[in-house]
Amino acid sequence: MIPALYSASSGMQAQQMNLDTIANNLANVNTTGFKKTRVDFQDLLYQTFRAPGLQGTQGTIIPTGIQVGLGARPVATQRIFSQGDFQQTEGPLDLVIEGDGFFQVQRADGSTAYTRAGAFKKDGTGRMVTSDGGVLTPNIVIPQDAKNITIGSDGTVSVTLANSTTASSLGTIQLAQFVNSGGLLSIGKNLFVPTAASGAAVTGTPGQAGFGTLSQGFLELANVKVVDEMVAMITSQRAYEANSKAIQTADEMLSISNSLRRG
Amino acid sequence: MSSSIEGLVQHMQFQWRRHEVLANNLANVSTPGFKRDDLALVPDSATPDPATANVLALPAGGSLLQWTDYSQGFVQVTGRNLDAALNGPGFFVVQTPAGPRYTRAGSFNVGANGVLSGPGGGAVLGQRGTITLTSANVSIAAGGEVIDNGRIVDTLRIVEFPKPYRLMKEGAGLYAAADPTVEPTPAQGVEVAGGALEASNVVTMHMMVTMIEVLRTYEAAQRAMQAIEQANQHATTDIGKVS
Repeated sequence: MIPALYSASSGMQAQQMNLDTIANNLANVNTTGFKKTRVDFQDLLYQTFRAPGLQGTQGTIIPTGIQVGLGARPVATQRIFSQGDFQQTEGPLDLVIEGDGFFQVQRADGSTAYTRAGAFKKDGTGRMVTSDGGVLTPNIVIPQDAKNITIGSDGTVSVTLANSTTASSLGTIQLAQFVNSGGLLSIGKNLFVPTAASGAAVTGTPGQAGFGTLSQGFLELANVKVVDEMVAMITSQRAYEANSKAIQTADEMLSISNSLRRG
Repeated sequence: MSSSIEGLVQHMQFQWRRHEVLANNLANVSTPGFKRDDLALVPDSATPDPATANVLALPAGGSLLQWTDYSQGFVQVTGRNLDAALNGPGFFVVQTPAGPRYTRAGSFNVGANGVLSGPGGGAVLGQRGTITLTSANVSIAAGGEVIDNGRIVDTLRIVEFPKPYRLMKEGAGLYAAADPTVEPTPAQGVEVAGGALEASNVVTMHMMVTMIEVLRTYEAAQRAMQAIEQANQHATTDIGKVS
Protein backbone atom coordinates (compact mmCIF):
# COMPACT_ATOMS: atom_id res chain seq x y z
CA MET A 1 0.00 0.00 0.00
CA ILE A 2 3.03 2.21 -0.13
CA PRO A 3 3.51 2.85 -3.92
CA ALA A 4 1.42 6.02 -3.98
CA LEU A 5 3.67 7.60 -1.36
CA TYR A 6 6.83 6.62 -3.19
CA SER A 7 5.55 7.62 -6.63
CA ALA A 8 4.75 11.05 -5.28
CA SER A 9 8.07 11.40 -3.50
CA SER A 10 9.91 10.38 -6.69
CA GLY A 11 7.96 13.14 -8.44
CA MET A 12 9.02 15.63 -5.79
CA GLN A 13 12.67 14.61 -6.04
CA ALA A 14 12.51 14.96 -9.82
CA GLN A 15 11.04 18.47 -9.51
CA GLN A 16 13.68 19.35 -6.93
CA MET A 17 16.38 18.46 -9.45
CA ASN A 18 14.52 20.44 -12.09
CA LEU A 19 14.60 23.51 -9.83
CA ASP A 20 18.32 23.00 -9.12
CA THR A 21 18.99 23.03 -12.85
CA ILE A 22 16.82 26.10 -13.47
CA ALA A 23 18.60 27.92 -10.64
CA ASN A 24 21.98 27.15 -12.20
CA ASN A 25 20.76 28.37 -15.60
CA LEU A 26 19.54 31.61 -14.06
CA ALA A 27 22.76 32.06 -12.07
CA ASN A 28 24.68 31.89 -15.36
CA VAL A 29 22.49 34.25 -17.33
CA ASN A 30 25.46 36.62 -17.72
CA THR A 31 28.15 33.98 -18.20
CA THR A 32 29.84 34.28 -21.59
CA GLY A 33 29.39 31.20 -23.75
CA PHE A 34 27.22 29.43 -21.15
CA LYS A 35 24.87 26.76 -22.47
CA LYS A 36 21.73 26.02 -20.52
CA THR A 37 20.82 22.55 -19.31
CA ARG A 38 17.51 20.86 -18.83
CA VAL A 39 16.53 17.70 -16.99
CA ASP A 40 14.97 14.85 -18.92
CA PHE A 41 12.40 12.80 -17.04
CA GLN A 42 11.14 9.29 -17.65
CA ASP A 43 8.47 7.19 -16.05
CA LEU A 44 9.70 4.38 -13.78
CA LEU A 45 8.81 0.72 -14.00
CA TYR A 46 5.21 -0.46 -13.99
CA GLN A 47 3.78 -3.13 -11.75
CA THR A 48 1.62 -5.25 -14.00
CA PHE A 49 -1.37 -6.74 -12.25
CA ARG A 50 -2.88 -8.06 -15.42
CA ALA A 51 -1.36 -8.03 -18.89
CA PRO A 52 -3.39 -6.67 -21.76
CA GLY A 53 -4.52 -8.92 -24.55
CA LEU A 54 -5.63 -11.80 -22.37
CA GLN A 55 -8.67 -13.86 -23.14
CA GLY A 56 -11.73 -12.68 -21.25
CA THR A 57 -14.42 -14.92 -19.79
CA GLN A 58 -16.86 -14.71 -22.68
CA GLY A 59 -14.26 -15.14 -25.39
CA THR A 60 -13.52 -11.44 -25.48
CA ILE A 61 -10.02 -10.10 -25.73
CA ILE A 62 -9.05 -7.74 -22.95
CA PRO A 63 -7.41 -4.80 -24.67
CA THR A 64 -5.60 -3.16 -21.78
CA GLY A 65 -4.08 -4.53 -18.63
CA ILE A 66 -3.84 -3.13 -15.17
CA GLN A 67 -0.53 -1.51 -14.63
CA VAL A 68 0.39 0.78 -11.80
CA GLY A 69 3.39 3.00 -12.39
CA LEU A 70 5.95 3.64 -9.71
CA GLY A 71 6.74 7.28 -10.36
CA ALA A 72 9.25 9.32 -12.32
CA ARG A 73 12.98 9.82 -12.34
CA PRO A 74 15.43 12.24 -13.89
CA VAL A 75 17.49 10.33 -16.47
CA ALA A 76 19.73 12.96 -17.99
CA THR A 77 20.64 16.58 -17.92
CA GLN A 78 20.72 17.71 -21.53
CA ARG A 79 22.93 20.64 -22.35
CA ILE A 80 21.38 22.68 -25.11
CA PHE A 81 24.00 24.01 -27.48
CA SER A 82 21.81 26.51 -29.27
CA GLN A 83 23.45 29.76 -30.34
CA GLY A 84 23.50 32.54 -27.77
CA ASP A 85 23.03 36.19 -28.68
CA PHE A 86 26.04 38.31 -29.62
CA GLN A 87 27.29 41.21 -27.59
CA GLN A 88 29.56 43.75 -29.19
CA THR A 89 32.60 44.47 -27.02
CA GLU A 90 35.19 45.93 -29.46
CA GLY A 91 37.80 43.82 -27.64
CA PRO A 92 40.30 42.70 -30.32
CA LEU A 93 40.61 39.26 -28.73
CA ASP A 94 36.92 38.74 -28.05
CA LEU A 95 35.60 36.08 -30.40
CA VAL A 96 32.30 34.38 -31.03
CA ILE A 97 31.73 31.20 -32.95
CA GLU A 98 28.78 31.63 -35.24
CA GLY A 99 27.66 28.08 -35.75
CA ASP A 100 29.07 24.83 -34.49
CA GLY A 101 32.46 24.31 -32.84
CA PHE A 102 34.50 24.86 -29.73
CA PHE A 103 37.72 26.66 -28.96
CA GLN A 104 40.45 24.31 -27.73
CA VAL A 105 42.13 25.25 -24.49
CA GLN A 106 45.08 23.58 -22.81
CA ARG A 107 44.48 22.88 -19.16
CA ALA A 108 47.13 23.00 -16.42
CA ASP A 109 47.57 19.20 -16.58
CA GLY A 110 48.30 19.31 -20.31
CA SER A 111 44.95 17.88 -21.42
CA THR A 112 42.66 19.77 -23.77
CA ALA A 113 39.32 21.24 -22.73
CA TYR A 114 36.76 22.88 -25.00
CA THR A 115 34.86 26.14 -24.59
CA ARG A 116 32.46 28.47 -26.38
CA ALA A 117 33.57 31.42 -24.25
CA GLY A 118 35.78 33.44 -26.56
CA ALA A 119 36.90 36.18 -24.17
CA PHE A 120 40.62 35.76 -24.79
CA LYS A 121 43.43 37.82 -23.25
CA LYS A 122 47.16 38.10 -23.72
CA ASP A 123 49.38 36.68 -21.01
CA GLY A 124 52.85 37.97 -20.02
CA THR A 125 54.50 36.24 -22.97
CA GLY A 126 51.89 37.36 -25.52
CA ARG A 127 50.08 34.03 -25.76
CA MET A 128 46.32 34.05 -26.29
CA VAL A 129 44.76 32.66 -23.09
CA THR A 130 41.30 32.40 -21.53
CA SER A 131 40.33 34.48 -18.51
CA ASP A 132 41.57 31.61 -16.33
CA GLY A 133 44.92 31.41 -18.08
CA GLY A 134 44.18 28.34 -20.19
CA VAL A 135 46.28 28.53 -23.35
CA LEU A 136 44.46 28.52 -26.70
CA THR A 137 45.48 25.53 -28.86
CA PRO A 138 47.09 25.76 -31.42
CA ASN A 139 48.62 28.71 -29.69
CA ILE A 140 48.88 32.17 -31.16
CA VAL A 141 51.67 34.36 -29.77
CA ILE A 142 51.12 38.05 -30.30
CA PRO A 143 54.36 40.05 -30.44
CA GLN A 144 54.70 42.97 -28.04
CA ASP A 145 54.93 45.58 -30.77
CA ALA A 146 51.88 44.28 -32.61
CA LYS A 147 49.16 46.68 -33.59
CA ASN A 148 45.82 46.20 -35.24
CA ILE A 149 45.12 42.59 -34.41
CA THR A 150 42.74 41.23 -37.04
CA ILE A 151 41.05 37.86 -36.75
CA GLY A 152 39.26 36.76 -39.88
CA SER A 153 36.07 34.74 -40.03
CA ASP A 154 38.22 31.77 -41.08
CA GLY A 155 40.33 32.10 -37.91
CA THR A 156 43.49 33.63 -39.41
CA VAL A 157 45.15 36.01 -36.96
CA SER A 158 47.15 38.80 -38.49
CA VAL A 159 48.82 41.84 -37.01
CA THR A 160 50.64 44.91 -38.20
CA LEU A 161 54.02 45.25 -36.52
CA ALA A 162 55.30 48.65 -35.35
CA ASN A 163 58.07 48.88 -37.98
CA SER A 164 55.94 47.64 -40.86
CA THR A 165 52.97 48.78 -42.87
CA THR A 166 51.82 45.37 -44.11
CA ALA A 167 49.96 42.80 -42.10
CA SER A 168 51.68 39.57 -41.19
CA SER A 169 49.92 36.34 -40.32
CA LEU A 170 50.46 34.75 -36.91
CA GLY A 171 48.57 31.54 -37.51
CA THR A 172 45.04 30.19 -37.63
CA ILE A 173 42.67 29.45 -34.79
CA GLN A 174 41.33 25.91 -35.06
CA LEU A 175 37.94 24.75 -33.82
CA ALA A 176 36.90 21.35 -32.52
CA GLN A 177 33.66 19.47 -33.06
CA PHE A 178 32.02 16.40 -31.59
CA VAL A 179 29.54 13.95 -33.05
CA ASN A 180 27.55 14.23 -29.83
CA SER A 181 28.28 17.51 -28.10
CA GLY A 182 25.48 16.60 -25.65
CA GLY A 183 27.83 13.94 -24.28
CA LEU A 184 30.48 16.45 -23.20
CA LEU A 185 31.18 16.75 -19.50
CA SER A 186 31.02 20.19 -17.94
CA ILE A 187 33.91 20.85 -15.60
CA GLY A 188 33.02 24.43 -14.70
CA LYS A 189 34.84 27.61 -15.75
CA ASN A 190 32.98 27.39 -19.08
CA LEU A 191 34.99 24.31 -20.02
CA PHE A 192 33.90 20.96 -21.37
CA VAL A 193 35.88 17.74 -21.65
CA PRO A 194 35.14 14.85 -24.00
CA THR A 195 33.73 11.55 -22.76
CA ALA A 196 33.08 8.16 -24.31
CA ALA A 197 29.58 9.44 -25.15
CA SER A 198 30.72 12.58 -26.95
CA GLY A 199 33.30 10.87 -29.14
CA ALA A 200 36.72 12.28 -29.92
CA ALA A 201 37.20 15.85 -31.07
CA VAL A 202 37.44 16.52 -34.79
CA THR A 203 39.36 19.70 -35.51
CA GLY A 204 38.99 22.00 -38.45
CA THR A 205 39.32 25.53 -39.70
CA PRO A 206 36.47 27.94 -39.02
CA GLY A 207 34.15 28.14 -42.01
CA GLN A 208 35.02 24.64 -43.22
CA ALA A 209 32.09 22.31 -43.87
CA GLY A 210 30.14 21.97 -40.65
CA PHE A 211 32.26 24.40 -38.65
CA GLY A 212 31.09 27.83 -37.57
CA THR A 213 32.83 31.06 -38.45
CA LEU A 214 34.49 33.55 -36.09
CA SER A 215 33.54 37.16 -35.46
CA GLN A 216 36.03 39.45 -33.81
CA GLY A 217 34.93 42.03 -31.24
CA PHE A 218 31.91 40.12 -30.04
CA LEU A 219 31.14 37.75 -27.21
CA GLU A 220 28.50 35.03 -27.14
CA LEU A 221 26.02 35.58 -24.34
CA ALA A 222 24.50 32.73 -22.38
CA ASN A 223 21.62 31.07 -24.27
CA VAL A 224 19.48 31.25 -21.12
CA LYS A 225 16.16 33.03 -21.63
CA VAL A 226 15.11 34.46 -18.29
CA VAL A 227 11.39 34.38 -19.08
CA ASP A 228 11.55 30.72 -20.14
CA GLU A 229 13.39 29.81 -16.95
CA MET A 230 10.87 31.74 -14.84
CA VAL A 231 7.98 29.88 -16.44
CA ALA A 232 9.81 26.58 -15.93
CA MET A 233 10.37 27.52 -12.29
CA ILE A 234 6.67 28.21 -11.74
CA THR A 235 5.54 24.96 -13.37
CA SER A 236 8.17 22.99 -11.50
CA GLN A 237 7.19 24.50 -8.17
CA ARG A 238 3.53 23.77 -8.78
CA ALA A 239 4.30 20.21 -9.84
CA TYR A 240 6.26 19.79 -6.61
CA GLU A 241 3.26 21.06 -4.68
CA ALA A 242 0.85 18.76 -6.54
CA ASN A 243 3.01 15.75 -5.69
CA SER A 244 3.04 16.77 -2.04
CA LYS A 245 -0.77 16.80 -2.17
CA ALA A 246 -0.69 13.22 -3.46
CA ILE A 247 1.33 12.30 -0.37
CA GLN A 248 -1.12 14.13 1.88
CA THR A 249 -4.04 12.32 0.26
CA ALA A 250 -2.35 8.94 0.71
CA ASP A 251 -1.63 9.84 4.32
CA GLU A 252 -5.24 10.82 4.92
CA MET A 253 -6.46 7.60 3.35
CA LEU A 254 -4.17 5.59 5.61
CA SER A 255 -5.47 7.49 8.59
CA ILE A 256 -9.07 6.75 7.53
CA SER A 257 -8.38 3.03 7.25
CA ASN A 258 -6.57 3.06 10.59
CA SER A 259 -9.62 4.58 12.23
CA LEU A 260 -11.87 1.77 10.97
CA ARG A 261 -11.35 0.00 14.25
CA ARG A 262 -12.59 2.29 16.97
CA GLY A 263 -11.98 2.05 20.65
CA MET B 1 -18.08 -11.30 7.33
CA SER B 2 -21.20 -9.86 5.79
CA SER B 3 -21.18 -9.47 2.04
CA SER B 4 -21.84 -5.76 2.30
CA ILE B 5 -18.65 -5.25 4.31
CA GLU B 6 -16.75 -7.33 1.79
CA GLY B 7 -18.07 -5.11 -0.98
CA LEU B 8 -16.94 -2.03 0.87
CA VAL B 9 -13.46 -3.49 1.40
CA GLN B 10 -13.23 -4.07 -2.35
CA HIS B 11 -14.32 -0.53 -2.91
CA MET B 12 -11.70 0.88 -0.57
CA GLN B 13 -9.03 -1.26 -2.18
CA PHE B 14 -10.06 0.06 -5.56
CA GLN B 15 -9.88 3.68 -4.36
CA TRP B 16 -6.44 2.98 -2.97
CA ARG B 17 -5.25 1.52 -6.28
CA ARG B 18 -6.76 4.43 -8.17
CA HIS B 19 -4.84 6.80 -5.96
CA GLU B 20 -1.62 4.93 -6.82
CA VAL B 21 -2.38 5.50 -10.48
CA LEU B 22 -3.10 9.20 -9.86
CA ALA B 23 0.13 9.60 -7.85
CA ASN B 24 2.07 8.11 -10.75
CA ASN B 25 0.37 10.54 -13.15
CA LEU B 26 1.34 13.47 -10.96
CA ALA B 27 4.93 12.23 -10.60
CA ASN B 28 5.09 12.26 -14.41
CA VAL B 29 3.62 15.71 -14.97
CA SER B 30 7.00 16.79 -16.43
CA THR B 31 7.81 13.56 -18.29
CA PRO B 32 7.83 14.21 -22.06
CA GLY B 33 5.53 11.92 -24.06
CA PHE B 34 3.83 10.57 -20.91
CA LYS B 35 0.17 9.52 -21.24
CA ARG B 36 -2.01 9.50 -18.16
CA ASP B 37 -3.69 6.38 -16.81
CA ASP B 38 -6.91 6.02 -14.87
CA LEU B 39 -8.93 3.27 -13.26
CA ALA B 40 -12.65 2.79 -12.89
CA LEU B 41 -14.73 0.29 -10.97
CA VAL B 42 -17.53 -0.99 -13.14
CA PRO B 43 -20.43 -2.80 -11.50
CA ASP B 44 -21.08 -6.24 -12.97
CA SER B 45 -24.58 -5.28 -14.07
CA ALA B 46 -23.20 -2.86 -16.63
CA THR B 47 -21.71 -4.77 -19.53
CA PRO B 48 -18.54 -2.99 -20.54
CA ASP B 49 -17.86 -2.61 -24.23
CA PRO B 50 -15.20 -5.27 -24.86
CA ALA B 51 -13.57 -3.04 -27.45
CA THR B 52 -12.64 -0.34 -25.00
CA ALA B 53 -12.79 -1.96 -21.60
CA ASN B 54 -10.58 -4.23 -19.65
CA VAL B 55 -12.29 -6.55 -17.27
CA LEU B 56 -10.73 -7.86 -14.13
CA ALA B 57 -13.39 -9.71 -12.24
CA LEU B 58 -13.56 -8.97 -8.56
CA PRO B 59 -15.18 -11.50 -6.29
CA ALA B 60 -17.61 -9.05 -4.75
CA GLY B 61 -19.39 -7.88 -7.83
CA GLY B 62 -17.30 -5.22 -9.53
CA SER B 63 -14.77 -5.10 -12.32
CA LEU B 64 -11.67 -2.95 -12.57
CA LEU B 65 -11.18 -1.13 -15.81
CA GLN B 66 -7.98 0.68 -16.64
CA TRP B 67 -7.32 2.85 -19.59
CA THR B 68 -4.60 5.11 -20.84
CA ASP B 69 -5.54 8.48 -22.25
CA TYR B 70 -3.51 8.73 -25.46
CA SER B 71 -4.66 12.26 -26.22
CA GLN B 72 -2.11 14.68 -27.62
CA GLY B 73 0.12 16.53 -25.17
CA PHE B 74 1.01 20.05 -26.15
CA VAL B 75 4.13 20.54 -28.25
CA GLN B 76 6.72 22.50 -26.33
CA VAL B 77 9.58 24.12 -28.23
CA THR B 78 12.95 23.34 -26.67
CA GLY B 79 15.40 24.54 -29.30
CA ARG B 80 17.43 21.33 -28.97
CA ASN B 81 18.13 19.90 -32.42
CA LEU B 82 17.74 16.24 -31.41
CA ASP B 83 14.31 16.71 -29.82
CA ALA B 84 11.29 15.59 -31.80
CA ALA B 85 7.61 15.76 -30.88
CA LEU B 86 4.81 13.88 -32.60
CA ASN B 87 1.81 15.99 -33.46
CA GLY B 88 -0.85 13.42 -34.25
CA PRO B 89 -1.23 9.70 -33.66
CA GLY B 90 1.69 7.28 -33.76
CA PHE B 91 4.91 6.25 -32.11
CA PHE B 92 8.64 6.36 -32.78
CA VAL B 93 10.25 2.92 -32.93
CA VAL B 94 13.20 2.11 -30.67
CA GLN B 95 15.24 -1.05 -31.01
CA THR B 96 15.82 -2.96 -27.76
CA PRO B 97 17.27 -6.42 -27.04
CA ALA B 98 13.70 -7.55 -26.32
CA GLY B 99 12.42 -6.39 -29.70
CA PRO B 100 10.96 -3.14 -31.02
CA ARG B 101 9.51 -0.74 -28.48
CA TYR B 102 7.35 2.29 -29.17
CA THR B 103 7.60 5.74 -27.67
CA ARG B 104 6.45 9.33 -27.94
CA ALA B 105 9.32 10.60 -25.79
CA GLY B 106 11.45 12.24 -28.48
CA SER B 107 14.45 13.46 -26.52
CA PHE B 108 16.97 11.66 -28.72
CA ASN B 109 20.72 11.39 -28.28
CA VAL B 110 23.71 10.47 -30.38
CA GLY B 111 26.24 7.96 -29.14
CA ALA B 112 29.97 8.28 -29.78
CA ASN B 113 29.46 5.85 -32.68
CA GLY B 114 27.04 8.34 -34.23
CA VAL B 115 23.93 6.18 -33.83
CA LEU B 116 20.75 8.09 -33.00
CA SER B 117 19.29 6.64 -29.81
CA GLY B 118 15.99 7.03 -28.01
CA PRO B 119 14.74 6.59 -24.45
CA GLY B 120 16.39 3.65 -22.71
CA GLY B 121 19.42 3.96 -25.00
CA GLY B 122 18.15 1.79 -27.87
CA ALA B 123 18.61 2.89 -31.47
CA VAL B 124 15.80 4.92 -33.02
CA LEU B 125 14.76 3.28 -36.25
CA GLY B 126 14.36 4.94 -39.60
CA GLN B 127 12.91 3.44 -42.78
CA ARG B 128 16.24 1.71 -43.42
CA GLY B 129 17.06 0.65 -39.88
CA THR B 130 19.35 2.42 -37.43
CA ILE B 131 20.36 5.98 -38.23
CA THR B 132 24.05 6.89 -38.13
CA LEU B 133 25.01 10.54 -38.02
CA THR B 134 28.36 11.90 -39.08
CA SER B 135 28.20 15.56 -38.11
CA ALA B 136 26.99 17.68 -35.23
CA ASN B 137 24.83 19.67 -37.62
CA VAL B 138 21.65 17.58 -37.41
CA SER B 139 18.00 18.58 -37.58
CA ILE B 140 14.68 16.76 -37.84
CA ALA B 141 12.11 17.97 -40.40
CA ALA B 142 8.31 17.84 -40.39
CA GLY B 143 8.08 14.59 -42.32
CA GLY B 144 10.48 12.92 -39.88
CA GLU B 145 13.46 13.38 -42.21
CA VAL B 146 16.76 13.35 -40.33
CA ILE B 147 19.00 15.93 -41.94
CA ASP B 148 22.72 15.52 -41.32
CA ASN B 149 24.82 18.38 -42.65
CA GLY B 150 22.23 19.34 -45.27
CA ARG B 151 21.67 15.79 -46.49
CA ILE B 152 18.65 13.59 -45.66
CA VAL B 153 20.11 10.40 -44.20
CA ASP B 154 16.86 8.65 -43.37
CA THR B 155 13.24 9.23 -42.35
CA LEU B 156 12.12 8.31 -38.85
CA ARG B 157 9.82 5.33 -38.70
CA ILE B 158 6.50 6.39 -37.17
CA VAL B 159 3.99 3.63 -36.65
CA GLU B 160 0.41 3.25 -35.55
CA PHE B 161 -1.59 0.38 -34.02
CA PRO B 162 -5.24 -0.53 -34.39
CA LYS B 163 -7.31 1.27 -31.79
CA PRO B 164 -7.87 0.72 -28.95
CA TYR B 165 -4.13 0.32 -28.44
CA ARG B 166 -3.10 -2.91 -26.80
CA LEU B 167 0.15 -1.63 -25.41
CA MET B 168 1.99 -2.18 -22.17
CA LYS B 169 3.98 0.54 -20.47
CA GLU B 170 7.49 -0.57 -19.69
CA GLY B 171 8.77 2.59 -18.05
CA ALA B 172 11.34 4.99 -19.55
CA GLY B 173 8.60 6.17 -21.92
CA LEU B 174 8.57 2.86 -23.80
CA TYR B 175 5.54 0.83 -24.82
CA ALA B 176 5.54 -2.81 -25.86
CA ALA B 177 2.86 -4.40 -28.02
CA ALA B 178 0.85 -6.72 -25.78
CA ASP B 179 0.31 -9.02 -28.71
CA PRO B 180 3.57 -9.26 -30.71
CA THR B 181 1.72 -10.74 -33.67
CA VAL B 182 -0.03 -7.42 -34.28
CA GLU B 183 2.14 -5.62 -36.80
CA PRO B 184 2.12 -1.84 -36.59
CA THR B 185 1.34 0.10 -39.74
CA PRO B 186 2.89 3.40 -40.91
CA ALA B 187 1.14 6.26 -39.09
CA GLN B 188 -1.06 8.59 -41.12
CA GLY B 189 -1.79 12.25 -40.43
CA VAL B 190 1.11 12.79 -38.07
CA GLU B 191 3.64 15.58 -38.18
CA VAL B 192 7.04 15.69 -36.55
CA ALA B 193 8.05 18.88 -34.77
CA GLY B 194 11.85 19.06 -34.65
CA GLY B 195 13.40 21.02 -31.79
CA ALA B 196 10.33 20.38 -29.62
CA LEU B 197 9.04 17.82 -27.15
CA GLU B 198 5.51 16.60 -26.49
CA ALA B 199 4.64 17.52 -22.91
CA SER B 200 2.98 15.04 -20.56
CA ASN B 201 -0.81 15.05 -21.00
CA VAL B 202 -1.37 15.06 -17.22
CA VAL B 203 -3.42 18.07 -16.14
CA THR B 204 -2.66 18.89 -12.51
CA MET B 205 -6.06 20.40 -11.78
CA HIS B 206 -7.84 17.33 -13.12
CA MET B 207 -5.67 15.11 -10.91
CA MET B 208 -6.42 17.26 -7.84
CA VAL B 209 -10.17 16.99 -8.36
CA THR B 210 -9.93 13.24 -8.92
CA MET B 211 -7.80 12.89 -5.81
CA ILE B 212 -10.47 14.64 -3.71
CA GLU B 213 -13.08 12.31 -5.20
CA VAL B 214 -10.95 9.26 -4.34
CA LEU B 215 -10.32 10.45 -0.81
CA ARG B 216 -13.95 11.23 -0.03
CA THR B 217 -15.25 8.00 -1.58
CA TYR B 218 -12.72 6.13 0.51
CA GLU B 219 -13.93 7.97 3.60
CA ALA B 220 -17.57 7.30 2.78
CA ALA B 221 -16.86 3.57 2.47
CA GLN B 222 -15.16 3.65 5.83
CA ARG B 223 -18.16 5.40 7.40
CA ALA B 224 -20.50 2.84 5.88
CA MET B 225 -18.40 0.04 7.32
CA GLN B 226 -18.52 1.64 10.73
CA ALA B 227 -22.31 1.93 10.50
CA ILE B 228 -22.62 -1.75 9.63
CA GLU B 229 -20.28 -2.65 12.42
CA GLN B 230 -22.36 -0.60 14.83
CA ALA B 231 -25.51 -2.38 13.70
CA ASN B 232 -23.77 -5.73 14.17
CA GLN B 233 -22.68 -4.72 17.61
CA HIS B 234 -26.23 -3.75 18.41
CA ALA B 235 -27.45 -7.11 17.16
CA THR B 236 -24.94 -9.12 19.17
CA THR B 237 -25.10 -7.22 22.43
CA ASP B 238 -28.55 -5.64 22.71
CA ILE B 239 -31.02 -7.87 20.91
CA GLY B 240 -32.25 -10.67 23.11
CA LYS B 241 -30.93 -9.06 26.23
CA VAL B 242 -33.17 -9.79 29.18
CA SER B 243 -33.60 -6.61 30.97
